[in-house]
Amino acid sequence: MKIMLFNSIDFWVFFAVIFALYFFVPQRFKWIFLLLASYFFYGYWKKEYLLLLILPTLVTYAVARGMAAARTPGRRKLLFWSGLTVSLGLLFVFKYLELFWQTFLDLRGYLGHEQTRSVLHIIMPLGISFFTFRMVSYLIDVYYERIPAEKHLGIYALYVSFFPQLLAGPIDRAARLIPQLKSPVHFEWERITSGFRLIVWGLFKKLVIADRLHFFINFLFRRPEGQQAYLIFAAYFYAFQIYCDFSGYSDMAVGVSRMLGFDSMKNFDFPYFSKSITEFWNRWHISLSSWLRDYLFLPLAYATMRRIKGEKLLAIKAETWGYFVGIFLTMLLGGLWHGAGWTFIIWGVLYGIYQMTSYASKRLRRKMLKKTGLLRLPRLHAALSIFFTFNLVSFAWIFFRAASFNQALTYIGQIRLHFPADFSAHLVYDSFLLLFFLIIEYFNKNRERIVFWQRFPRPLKMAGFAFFCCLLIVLAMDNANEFIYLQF
Amino acid sequence: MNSFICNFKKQYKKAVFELLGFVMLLFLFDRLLFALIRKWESSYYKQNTTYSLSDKFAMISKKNDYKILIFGTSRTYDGIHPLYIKNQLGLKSFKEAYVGKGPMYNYFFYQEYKKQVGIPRVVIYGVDYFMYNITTSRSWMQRFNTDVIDDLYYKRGPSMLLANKNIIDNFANTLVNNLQSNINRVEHSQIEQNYVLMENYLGLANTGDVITQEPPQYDTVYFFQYPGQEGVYFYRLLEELHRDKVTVLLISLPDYIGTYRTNKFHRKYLRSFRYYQRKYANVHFLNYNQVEKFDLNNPAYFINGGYGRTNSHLSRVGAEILNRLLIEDLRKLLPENEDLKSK
Repeated sequence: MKIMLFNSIDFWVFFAVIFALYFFVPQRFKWIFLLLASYFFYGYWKKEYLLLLILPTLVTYAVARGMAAARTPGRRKLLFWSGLTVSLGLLFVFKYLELFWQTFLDLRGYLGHEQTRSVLHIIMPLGISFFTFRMVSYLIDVYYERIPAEKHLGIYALYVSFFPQLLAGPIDRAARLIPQLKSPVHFEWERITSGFRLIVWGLFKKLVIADRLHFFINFLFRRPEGQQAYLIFAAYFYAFQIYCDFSGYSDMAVGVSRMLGFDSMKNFDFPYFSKSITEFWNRWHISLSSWLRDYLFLPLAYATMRRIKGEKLLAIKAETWGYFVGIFLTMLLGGLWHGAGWTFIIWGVLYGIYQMTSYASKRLRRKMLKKTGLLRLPRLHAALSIFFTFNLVSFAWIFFRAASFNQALTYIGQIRLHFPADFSAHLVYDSFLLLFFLIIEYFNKNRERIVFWQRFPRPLKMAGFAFFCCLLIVLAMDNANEFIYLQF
Repeated sequence: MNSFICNFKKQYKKAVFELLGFVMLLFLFDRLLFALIRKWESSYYKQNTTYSLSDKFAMISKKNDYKILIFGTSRTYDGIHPLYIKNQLGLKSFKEAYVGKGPMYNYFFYQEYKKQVGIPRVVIYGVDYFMYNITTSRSWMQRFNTDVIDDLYYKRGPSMLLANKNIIDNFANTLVNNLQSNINRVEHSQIEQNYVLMENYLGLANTGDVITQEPPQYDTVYFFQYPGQEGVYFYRLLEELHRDKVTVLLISLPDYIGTYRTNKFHRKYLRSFRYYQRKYANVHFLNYNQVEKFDLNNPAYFINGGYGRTNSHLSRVGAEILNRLLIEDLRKLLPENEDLKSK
């Protein structure tokens, strides 16, 4: 069976049926209806993998209920760790075992044994990283008593498997989503239309921008030899491809949730307008980055600071040590979360280095800004910061996109500042499309501040949107690709 | 239920009004944009000499020398080469096989070819697994009488843009590719237009684009049966070739093993073309897409294809082997070879 993707006809037929029936289902049965729809959505790909969704749901539900009822802290802790082991253990087996096993075989090969390839061929269940993180955050929140353990198994199962967010997020927290799943859902036309607008915008990002850029990028990453300056464009284009691919998916997920009456968390906030890497991570894949911040970075940073006796260690403040250890490990594990491969680990390490360097060079940069007079030119300073940050991010994406570390190095090694003799019309076409996209993106970002738009009559706005829908049909790529983040 | 009805009652007028308004606007813009694109497309192809058929025929000297006419898609373009046939059999072939040319194009082209060059003695037609599922690229169809073709070509539907999406995509690709070829001066479209370049074309080298690793899972496809998109024209062409007493060789070109496995209903596919062999005495079906005849496992013989890819193209090396096999079969099937040369 095929995967029910947001850019497939199968999904939209499925959603049309669900949406048509949803508001007629009595409130008390809505959760059953959505849960069944979510399991159908997941099982549409592979029925047997439904077990991998249902089993950890049951285990984490029972563990959370057990923790809530536990009389001793020891029992509570034991239950907590067993719940974490089950959910993270499944993630390890299905996502990382192959990588570690192959690394072990490679090491054996280096030590003189026969070189062999892993024959495990484990098929990773779709969305496993996303629903595991949802369960883990729930367990942690219950353990630290930030939220009560959910009594209703059906609601909890729906929180884990809610179909718009199941395959690639956003990773909504229990504290935010569970109360919504319990509340009555009303028919709100405004909410439905705004959800629909988001879906169309998400489709535009995916089908028009991401899938179009895919061809240019794919060609250059596979054969970078002699492509010179085109490789710079391909790196920039990839930054937009992955953004449009993933934020397009998120927009559609948020839009579908909104049409059904739920508010999902915002996953992207115009990340390429960031003035620093830290700001970038506050705007990129927000549901994951805030997850990593709350459940990994902060505990790691505090734990490091607590272990340092006194204010300084090796003439460096305990606070700085906390930040360095926390951010480096968080970024490393964040990289590993994205994929079981060394390129992802390097990508994560790069971000660790970026942020540590940025933190350590704060004073120096401040001095330089004063000397160059850029502090008095805030707009120029902001533009330069955005440009510099975007370049750092685009460079890191090369490792993320490359099939192997060697391919990434070859790619970087082939970059030159002049163009090859053959002109690429695709570059021009893609650049125009990107420019068009950036104009709309800028408009979206500043929509609230644009006065004429506020005064625009609603019928005219509707006409503009109808025209945009037609434009989407004209410009969309017919042979749609899978979403990049589905592989994670 | 109550809250839904209560809210719906309050908002339904606005909802229904806006929904109807939106659908009407969509309909309007859909028609408007489609009309604009159609007009642009039509004038573009009319002005662009790449798509002029009379220019193409005007270039041919000694029209009587051409005894073989080769039809097919890009697979045939990369797989069957007139130069080998000329060197081995001394026969000149006019190759019309190219990407985006389906049965409809071949049928209309044959009418023009008869008028401008004459009736060939042999037609080699490279058939594909996707034969009944392809639509001829609009750009090629523009070569013929457009008033007739337009009615055949554009589909009708609630959304004209969606119904004709493939035509719009083809046009967009044509614009980009032509821009590229105009600036870089040499491109494949020039080969298509110039019969001398076409006669000397021997295919492309393997660049490692073949997917050789079998993934744990990949989508397989079924065979689209007759008539599909343009199958009717294939039938009409065969009827006409039968009337014209032209020997027809339907060639099933080799596919890389991964592609072969992706296309899984081979029996139906073979049955479909063997039917014509039984029906018409002048039609022969030659199947090279089998391991016994051609090493489908060797990725060096292909330039692309693999598991989950529904077609593959022969590399220069692969095409050389195929042409050798084809020439052997041509020798057997055309005992009147000498007769062909003398005419």
